[in-house]
Amino acid sequence: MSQISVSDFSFVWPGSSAAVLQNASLNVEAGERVMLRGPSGSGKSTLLAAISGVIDIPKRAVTVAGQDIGALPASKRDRFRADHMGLIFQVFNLVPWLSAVDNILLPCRFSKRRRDRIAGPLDKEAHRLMAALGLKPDTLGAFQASTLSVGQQQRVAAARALIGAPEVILADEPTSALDPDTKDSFMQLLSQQAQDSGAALLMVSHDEGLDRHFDRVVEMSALSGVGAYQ
Amino acid sequence: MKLVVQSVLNRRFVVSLTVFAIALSVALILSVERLRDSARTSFANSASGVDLIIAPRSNDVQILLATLFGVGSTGTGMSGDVVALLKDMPGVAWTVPLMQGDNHKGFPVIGTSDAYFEHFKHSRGKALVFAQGTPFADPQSAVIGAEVAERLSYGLGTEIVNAHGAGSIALEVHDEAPFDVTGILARTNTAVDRMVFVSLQGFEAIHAEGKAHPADPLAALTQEDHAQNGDDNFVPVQINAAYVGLSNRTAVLGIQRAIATYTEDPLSAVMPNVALLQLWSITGTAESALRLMSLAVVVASMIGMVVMLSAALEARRREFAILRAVGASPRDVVVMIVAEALLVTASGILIGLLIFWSGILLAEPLLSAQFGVTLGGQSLNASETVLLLTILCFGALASLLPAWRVYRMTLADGLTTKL
Repeated sequence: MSQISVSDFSFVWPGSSAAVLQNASLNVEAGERVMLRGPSGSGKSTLLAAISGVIDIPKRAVTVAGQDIGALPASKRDRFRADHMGLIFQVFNLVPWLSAVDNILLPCRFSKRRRDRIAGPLDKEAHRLMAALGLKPDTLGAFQASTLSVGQQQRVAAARALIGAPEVILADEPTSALDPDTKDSFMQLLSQQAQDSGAALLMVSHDEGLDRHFDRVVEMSALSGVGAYQ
Repeated sequence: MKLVVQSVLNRRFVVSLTVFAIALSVALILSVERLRDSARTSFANSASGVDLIIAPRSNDVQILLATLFGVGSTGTGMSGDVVALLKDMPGVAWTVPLMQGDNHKGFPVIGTSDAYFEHFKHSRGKALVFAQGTPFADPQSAVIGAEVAERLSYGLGTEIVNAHGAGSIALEVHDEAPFDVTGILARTNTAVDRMVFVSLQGFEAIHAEGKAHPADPLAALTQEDHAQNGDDNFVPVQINAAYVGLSNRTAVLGIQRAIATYTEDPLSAVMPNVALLQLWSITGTAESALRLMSLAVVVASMIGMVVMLSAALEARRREFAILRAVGASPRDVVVMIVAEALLVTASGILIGLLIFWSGILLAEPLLSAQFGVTLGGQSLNASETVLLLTILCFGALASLLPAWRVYRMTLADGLTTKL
């Protein structure tokens, strides 16, 4: 079953005359890891915004975990995002004055579903994810997010996206601020954890060297047109 | 909610400044209101048992302040015979003669008769009660108010010496004529607490010595005759004022007319409640100005809070974007802002109350000693509670401005962090 299904989706930003996306189609299965590659301005971020439900889109264009995103009102989309999606951004992923653990547990404050999917105490799960992502939970867990290095921050962000096992993980160039070595190990861990949790991972990037961490690489230029992917 | 608290703690310096500004403004407005209210009740309580004050012609407010509160003086005297004259008027239940012009260590000294303790009523009809001792036993007796006894640690039998004049600086001390304290009045929370009462004979004797009235040898004679008796029917040559109690309220007009046409001395008949209204209308402008100022301070502190919230919005854009990414709706973010404003305002009000209460603790003894005004303790009355709730609501209302901005901002920003 495809967790993310985009079919024949076009989008024009309000006030702009040219469409950023034209008849785009894309499917991502559960447990599948897909890299979406393209130059800036090719509509990568718009696509992520549409999938995560931040922008208003027409009905029957985007389906996530079986739910038509365009059919939900804005407030329901926020709730839906909290319940079913984990997001990782390029930089500034963390609330600077919260500890690493509190940052990881943020989605659990807004989503009862994510909370309920964690067996046992929340802190323990946050620590487990930190350890799985190569962070020492005992020392770093209580650190304020602003005191962590960029690489550590991105891992904490990954742990936050993964907590409560959401169906879909969206990543918007999460590696662009990292140096090559860190990049590779970060992708390794994220990819591994996404697979372990059975989530569909959709990552947007223009990085060439990360292909091996993905099941499939889709060029933005190939999105348009019916059945253009693959 | 926990998020709001943590976010506030992260910005604790600016937030605590804002809280402090609100606290000060709350304390200020509460103090102004409380001072005004207690001054009014206290004055009204002091004046409640006297129907008319007869004094040499002067300003009504001046007479009121001088007689009932011992502030200032009535100026010239009037003939002691007026009291007898008043007593015979229809509708008059009682009269109390008053002599003034001395002080004891800053507390006003009143020369009067036992009738004062018998008839004077305060705080809506309460009679004066002796905590210790009795009324005047002889011309050298003195009765002191509760505040005087407490302040100066006087007890029964203490010998006191009065000074001429109204201030606390003794220009001319009557140390040749000391008085013995024979009675101490129970606390009334009115101006009576800070008064020293001596008998008419005693009061007159001090002033008679060395400066008898040469223009009226007859009067000097009568005075000496009576001084030895020490009875209640003693009629001094000159008194400063007289309290009148009526058995029939409607008699007021008749008495006022009689007093106005009294030929021997120009006299005034003052109704204390009417004079109080006059006093309030005089002080009213200053009061309103003070209230307006304290309201302005409250508004200013609220604006300060809005400025703080608004200024922080830009810096918190990232925070909001992250919260939205993990599932917070723009409405959640708005709720956070309003909750923060409520938290700040509420802590401001609480700290303001603490300042206000400690202010009362500090100021009460002072005000009580100087003016006989009591501040009515820690509990808040209805209008003060309403005031505080209004401030709280106003704080929430004011926060809607930055909240609306943040709503627009989060909608526009979406999840992208443009930094």
